[in-house]
This record gives sequence, structure tokens and C-alpha cells, in this order.
Amino acid sequence: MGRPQFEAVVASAPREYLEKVVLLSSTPIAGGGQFELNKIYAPPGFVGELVGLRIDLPIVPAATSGYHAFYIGYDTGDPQNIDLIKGEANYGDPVYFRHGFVFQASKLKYPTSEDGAIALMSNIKFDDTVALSINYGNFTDKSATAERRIQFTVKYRQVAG
Amino acid sequence: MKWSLTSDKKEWKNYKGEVFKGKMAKDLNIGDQVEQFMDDNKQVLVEVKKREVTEKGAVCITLIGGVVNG
Repeated sequence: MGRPQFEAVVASAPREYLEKVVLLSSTPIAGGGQFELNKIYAPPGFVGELVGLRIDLPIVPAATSGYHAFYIGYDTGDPQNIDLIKGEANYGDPVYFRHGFVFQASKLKYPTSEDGAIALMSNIKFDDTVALSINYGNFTDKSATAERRIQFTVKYRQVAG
Repeated sequence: MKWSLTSDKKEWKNYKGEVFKGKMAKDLNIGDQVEQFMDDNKQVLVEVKKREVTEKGAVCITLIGGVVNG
């Protein structure tokens, strides 16, 4: 009887890597409640985690009433997402989110502080079936035509199975 | 292709009666539209404007639209 053959099994650590994503858009978003919905799915076999975020939403040109906003959360497949972070600004104000430094939204901020938003963001994870949702809504009386920037860094971690 | 949520809200179908299996935005193509009625009977219509795959294989879908009546 021959000696049993064993094959060395080297356990490999789950792969992790970072990726920066920049979404620029000047597509006119009509006033009165039109949305620009961005849904991001992680590569198959990976879970994504937001580790850095920057949002620049300029004022809506010529608007005289209402507000505009960003919403970050999970895509549920319905128009009504699960929103975790939101920033709403009156029509004459921009909306800024600069990771850890600035969270400027004159009408409503949730969470109410930069620190709170960073803490909440660390719990936002998504994969290839449950998308990260970063949306812009225009509830003013004019079209939003200035360039909007959504920039974020994602850490992807390989999952088992 | 336009997909509409059925009245029982269990699936999306197109005008041919084909069912949209998976029901994930990343399975849509540029120009596809999705409409549904919300609980307050407002009709929402969104259209896929961009579909990109990043260098690491993430899929980014951008849709634009909103309430069309009500």
C-alpha cells in the first residue's frame, strides 16, 4: 500500500481592495420632484463598504422656491429606499458633504453632525444583490443643470461562498 | 423596454407579458423604463440613463425620473 498523498492547503486571506468612484452629472433634473438615482452593486463575491465620501450639489439656477437634496441608503427595488443619510438644502443653497469636515445642508441634515454621518456611514455595506443607493432629488421650481459630483471610495472584501 | 409593476406588486412585466426576473436595476439596459404605482397611487416612472462597470467589476446604474401624475 502506498503512502497517502496529502496536498498542502494554504488558507488564503480574503481579498480586499479599494476603489474610487466618481459620478459627475449635468443631466438636467426637472423641478417638482424629479430624481437622479445612482445604484451601485459590488462585484460578485464581494461586500462593499463606504470608507470615503464627497458630495457637491450646486444651487439650482434661477430657482425661487423649494429645496434639493441627496439621500444615501439601500436600494429596495421600490422608489422608496431605506435612507440612512440625507441632506436637504433650500433652493438658494448648495449641499456639501466632505468626509469628516463639512456637512452643509440648510434645510435638514440627518444625522445632524459630520461625526454622526461618518459613524453611520461605516455601517453601510452592499453587495451584488443589495445595491448602495445615492440619489439626488430636485424639489425646487426649476431644473437643476449645474454639474453635480458624487465621489466615494469603497473597500471591497471578498466573502466566503 | 418598459417594465410595469403588476397590480399585486409581485413582479414586473413588459408590454409583451414577459416577467422581469431578478428585479435588480443592474439587469436593466440603457433606455429601459420602470414604472409603478406607489401606495398613494402616484405613478413613478424612471429610465436608465447610464450603465457602467468599474475597473474592479462594480456595476453603477443611473436612472432618472419621478412622479408622472398624482
